[in-house]
Amino acid sequence: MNSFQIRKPPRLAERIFHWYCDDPLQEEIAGDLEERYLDHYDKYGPAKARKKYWLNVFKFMRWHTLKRRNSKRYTQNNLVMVKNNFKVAFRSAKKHKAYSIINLSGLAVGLTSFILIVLYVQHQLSFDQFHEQKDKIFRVTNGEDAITPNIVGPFLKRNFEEEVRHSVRVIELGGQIMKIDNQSFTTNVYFADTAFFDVFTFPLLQGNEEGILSKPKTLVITQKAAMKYYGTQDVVGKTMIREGEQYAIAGVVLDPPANSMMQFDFLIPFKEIRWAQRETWSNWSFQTFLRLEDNVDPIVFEQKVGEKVNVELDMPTESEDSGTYLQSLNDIYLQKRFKLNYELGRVGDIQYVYIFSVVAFLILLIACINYVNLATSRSLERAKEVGIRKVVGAHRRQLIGQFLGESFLFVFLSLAISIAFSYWLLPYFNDLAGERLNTVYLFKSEFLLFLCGLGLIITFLAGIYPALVLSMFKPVTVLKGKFTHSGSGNRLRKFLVIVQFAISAFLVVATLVVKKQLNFIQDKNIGLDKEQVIFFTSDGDLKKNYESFKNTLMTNPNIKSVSMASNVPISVGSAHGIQTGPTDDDYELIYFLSADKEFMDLMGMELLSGLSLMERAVPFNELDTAGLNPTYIINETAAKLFNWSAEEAVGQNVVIGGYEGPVQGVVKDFHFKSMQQRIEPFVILYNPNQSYTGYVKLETNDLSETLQFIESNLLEAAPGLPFDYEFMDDYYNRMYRFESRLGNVFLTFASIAVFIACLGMFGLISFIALHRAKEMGIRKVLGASFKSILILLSADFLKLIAIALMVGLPVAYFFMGDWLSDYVYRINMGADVAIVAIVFALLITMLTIAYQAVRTAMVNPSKVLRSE
Amino acid sequence: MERRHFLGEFEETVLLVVATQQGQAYGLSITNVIEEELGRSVNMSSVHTALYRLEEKGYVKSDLGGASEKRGGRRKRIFEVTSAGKSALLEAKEHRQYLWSKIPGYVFGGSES
Repeated sequence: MNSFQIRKPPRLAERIFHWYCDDPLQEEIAGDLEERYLDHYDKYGPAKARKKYWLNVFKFMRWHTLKRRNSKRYTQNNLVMVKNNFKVAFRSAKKHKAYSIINLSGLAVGLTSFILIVLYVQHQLSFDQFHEQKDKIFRVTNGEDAITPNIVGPFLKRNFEEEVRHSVRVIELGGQIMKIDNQSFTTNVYFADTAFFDVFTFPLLQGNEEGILSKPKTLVITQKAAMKYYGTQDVVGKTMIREGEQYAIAGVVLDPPANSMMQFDFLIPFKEIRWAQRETWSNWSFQTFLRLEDNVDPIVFEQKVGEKVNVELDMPTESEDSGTYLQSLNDIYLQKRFKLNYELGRVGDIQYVYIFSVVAFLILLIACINYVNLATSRSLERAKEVGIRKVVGAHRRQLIGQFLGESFLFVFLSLAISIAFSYWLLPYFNDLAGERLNTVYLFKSEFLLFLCGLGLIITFLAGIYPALVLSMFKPVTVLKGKFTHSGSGNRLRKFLVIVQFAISAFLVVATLVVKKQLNFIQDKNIGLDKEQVIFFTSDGDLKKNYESFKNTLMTNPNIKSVSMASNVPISVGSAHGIQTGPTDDDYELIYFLSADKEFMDLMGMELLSGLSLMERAVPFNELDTAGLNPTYIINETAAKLFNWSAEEAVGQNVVIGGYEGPVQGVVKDFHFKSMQQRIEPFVILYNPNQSYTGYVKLETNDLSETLQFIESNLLEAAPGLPFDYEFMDDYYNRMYRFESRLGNVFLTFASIAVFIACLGMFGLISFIALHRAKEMGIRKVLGASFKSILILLSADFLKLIAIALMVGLPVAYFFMGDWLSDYVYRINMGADVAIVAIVFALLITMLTIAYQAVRTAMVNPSKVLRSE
Repeated sequence: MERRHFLGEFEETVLLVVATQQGQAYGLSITNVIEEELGRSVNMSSVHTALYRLEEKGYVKSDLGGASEKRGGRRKRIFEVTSAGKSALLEAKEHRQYLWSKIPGYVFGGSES
């Protein structure tokens, strides 16, 4: 007998055989195999026998020997069990209502957030993807500005006829005044070259595509604008007045979709901008789009364009970087390759797309962890069920299937709930994120399919661990009542709670930092007084009648001052060069604003030295005709270019835009661009000709009456000018709209993450309270006080929270420090953020566990102890 | 046309071996006979498959029995030829004999006669 035992066939081969071979055939074949193995062993020796055994095992893999997993007799039984499993899942869910609700709501809230964020991210990624030729459309840029001189488009088209199929210049001129039947309104107008419709995919609903945007005094109107101004879409041939001239409507175009960077009401032929017709390299205002031929490699072509431009401008191309780039249309909205000034429309940021994706993932992770925690924490209750099932003959695989089925039920139920929730919440989310997401996206079949796939993945991820743990119980121990729940499971649960709270702490800190930075920006003294200042577009009539208009307004005691200027002083974008060295080539950019005499007072600019425009004003535009020297008011930063103090600068000569003149005054630095950018050199010019914008400073509590007073006077001074005013501080806040929305979105999702994590903790404390009820009872009998039991129960959790904070806070500080480094003027994160986060975390932990802890501590020991 | 099962050449061999060992034939014993007595190299699994097919066709029937220590205590599947199997064998034999008898004498030369 012993000799047989030693001569055993290879174990692994045997196991492989048992794995694949159909049960009824196993015995006979395995017997034959082993008998033959022994024969071979005697005949050829062990090595050959083993080899032959292996070979035979594989040779027996025949169709008729394979396991019949789907044979009929099993299928029927399986179906019955599946039905039964769902029934049991429902019953157990109904029996433990609190548990089920916590579990469902955690998953549903997590999934809802995930769905909304995915919709948002999808929307961001879909921008400008509807243009059929999107991969062949490029925008010319110098790497800093989205705009180019007006010559660039025609120049490139002329010089690269083989590569460039079309070039289109596009410019948006804000505040265009259109008049229909003597009714004026300001609209959003794009001026574009004829090829606009050949390059971009904006379908014409009416009108002839042939020759559109080429006939003078014609325009194209969007469907929405047509409905708004005419009440009908049949408007081709109707006319409207712009700048005193009649324009005929040549076409109606479908509204630009929500995911279009370009948003316009009217399109007017480029030729109608009179001042833009002479092609020069100095008239920077225009976006230049190129439609390249299909076979052109944009990378190679970019280099060629750069060299050509540099040759034309007489600038040597020193390195591979020529300073002229072609930005793909696909990269424009998300600012992928460049972050440019003077974008045509609204732009997003690929960085935020990433951040939101991560947040969505984290929230989903927290929700899954919740499920795992709650499901395993109920192991004690389910252990007996598992034991009985096993005794009756359930295989482990069947039990795993049962518990996976249970999580399938939970996940898909909450998925259904969250789809309904997302549908209902989408409008609110749109408000929050400032998007125009449509519920249509939600019910696209691909998206639903994606959600189902996601549901299956979550089912598996969240369900597999509980299923493995629950199906592992040994019936003997469980049914004897000796079952205690395992230490390792407990450790895992604790670990998961730590992960949840570390993520929550991270999100809380991130939210706090974003909010703090935004408040900092919004409250920071920008150096201008932007309260109660309104501004509005001006026109030729107003310029003519300005003096009388101003004098009438000033009679109203609620109006403090009235002024005109070229730009809005908090977003200045025009620059001259200021000479900093002996030759023309040494220059720095100096931003400028043209204003009238009252402007500095109105905006509360602080003069550090010298004379203000009130005291001395030389019109910048009449220098050539009047033979005058200009005088400049510069800011501190400009003075620093020459290492002058404010006092020293006065009287020094500087050359700005080619004109030499003395500095007449120095004004204190103020933010004339985004707070993200450093304050740069700045000069204020006196130039009444460039009065494109009217300003009124109010000093009143009765806004509506004062505004009406201004409107009626404006109507008198400039009958064709609509009073579309805006408050300066609103405008300022709008500049940071993206960031402030980001703050709100972050706040919302961080709260959701914390909420879900708290649900998980609540489930866990309920479980622990149940498990340790007897221990607490004994402690009470032995004299433990209410307080000491409370402390004992909370201490466990506080330890976990402490660890979570120790992990979460440094990570958050690291990432948020990185985010802040984009801002030139930024907050110091400091300890206060951490302190707030810590206090918040402790508070919310105490609140979550208080109910269960107090209940456990108060319970009468005789109740928990009598049953044994 | 009546659906008939035909005996393949290998199947016929296996069936014959089962008949020779009536009551004691099982997978390995058949393999051994074919290998050792007929000198024909064969796979155990092929024999098994052939037996399986023969059983499907109704030419053999089987029962479990005869465990031995050498087999790790596992039972064998003992095969027996059924009457259908017998008639199939007979038919095959008749076909052959008929054909043999039809071969003209000179084909195999004079050596025999």
